[in-house]
Amino acid sequence: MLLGCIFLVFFQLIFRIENQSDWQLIIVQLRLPRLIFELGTGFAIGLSALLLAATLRQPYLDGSMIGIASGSELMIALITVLVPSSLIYRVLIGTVAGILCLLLLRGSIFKYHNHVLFLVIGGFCLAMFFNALTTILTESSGWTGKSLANVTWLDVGWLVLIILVAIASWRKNSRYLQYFALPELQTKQLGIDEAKIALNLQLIAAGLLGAVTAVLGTVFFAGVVINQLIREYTHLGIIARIPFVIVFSILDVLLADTVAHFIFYPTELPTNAVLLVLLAPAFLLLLTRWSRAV
Amino acid sequence: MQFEELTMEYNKKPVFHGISGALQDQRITVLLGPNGSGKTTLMMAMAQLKNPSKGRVIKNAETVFYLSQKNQVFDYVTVGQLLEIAQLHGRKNDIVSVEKTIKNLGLTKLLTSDINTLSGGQQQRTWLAYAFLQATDILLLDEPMTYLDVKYQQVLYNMIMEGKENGQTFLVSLHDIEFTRRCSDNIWFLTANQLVSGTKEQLLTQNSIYQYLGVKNYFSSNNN
Repeated sequence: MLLGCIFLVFFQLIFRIENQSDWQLIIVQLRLPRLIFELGTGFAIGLSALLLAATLRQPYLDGSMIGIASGSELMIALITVLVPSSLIYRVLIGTVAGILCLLLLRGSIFKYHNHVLFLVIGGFCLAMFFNALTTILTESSGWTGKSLANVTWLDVGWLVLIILVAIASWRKNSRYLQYFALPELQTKQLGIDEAKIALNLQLIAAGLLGAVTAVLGTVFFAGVVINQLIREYTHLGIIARIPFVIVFSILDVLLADTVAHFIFYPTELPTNAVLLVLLAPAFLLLLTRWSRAV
Repeated sequence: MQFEELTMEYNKKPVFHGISGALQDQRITVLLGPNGSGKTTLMMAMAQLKNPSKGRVIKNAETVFYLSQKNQVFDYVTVGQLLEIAQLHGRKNDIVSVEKTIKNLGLTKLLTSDINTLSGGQQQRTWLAYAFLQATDILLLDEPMTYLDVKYQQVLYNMIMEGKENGQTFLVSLHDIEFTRRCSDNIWFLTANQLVSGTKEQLLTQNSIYQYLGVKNYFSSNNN
């Protein structure tokens, strides 16, 4: 997976630079920020899916399925219509939107997290509602969004900063993550303040997902497929799985954006849609494995 | 450990009302009662995992651990990993007693297995090992015989007896009268508005079983 990532990084940097005189400009101003943002996007999608699934004790959920990503996308659409000049801070705005969505979920649907169907259906309804609002808002505005083609160094700077904050918070809370594999009753008896730790870890997940969704757009099911695929094939626990989930997620994003960027070059495809299509066989593979297990 | 005038509700409906009792130190008390009488709720209140609507639980410095009747893990967790968590928080860090618990409960070959892939009995044995490795003075076991075959029912009996000899106090909820007769020092019958307590000689009688569990002629029908 790592070799694949390295290969794709170099491929994206140097492939099809036709105008030799502009190569520095193309690499430094266009391809390098885009590449760094892709790496951050892979990190964010993988880690946020794993954290949300673990803290909610629902392995088949990620932030796209419960409205966090759609909420971030809606906020960006709102800003586009109301204060377009603020869009240079879209990554930060996406983070704030992701966190606000999380707080909304925690005040409503998460209270019934023991009822899986309620959580899934409630979260999905919220995601679809946000999607509908985004469609209405952007219908005639000419806003396309959902592209990594226009990533700027400012976007990269904000994403790096948000990832650094997330890592700092992660270092304080990570040792407790493994306990979310146990029933709530048992973590309580181990003296773990589960409510506080779950909030901290979910804030990391929502902030990261909101940040990358602001640029990439919502990628439904990607996180859950990546997380479950790694779980099925490595048989590793939550903590041990993290590096594999992150690297696989980065590989998926790099591959998706390479295809989106170069397959019909110079026409760009939306990276989030390509990512979803690329993960479709993995989803079918998972379905086959689950059906065998049943 | 004791509780006074304890009232508990479930979904805003009273489970039991104003009951009081005291758990005798270093004894095995068996909690009996029909389904839905509130045995689990009482044990959870005693472990301070549920707050009572009224009344209070009084305990000194004793540590309490409650093992619920249904347990599951929510990710890939091996038997060994779960028992490591118990050891980290437990007092039985000496390798001999850990190995003995694992061996007694037949878990040696299952240490690297994902708990989710085990049978009901194997999972129950894993959770029993988890409970017995805890650092606790009082062990509250909620229907611990669920899924256990006869061999491991006997292992459980031996472990409870050994725990008692080592100074632990047990409250065990059961539906098996024969097992109750073998292992209990005291009996608690739980009804909606009272906790009837006494020794097994006083309470494990035909009349009590009929009065509190609703089974007529339990002993005579068993003799037949």
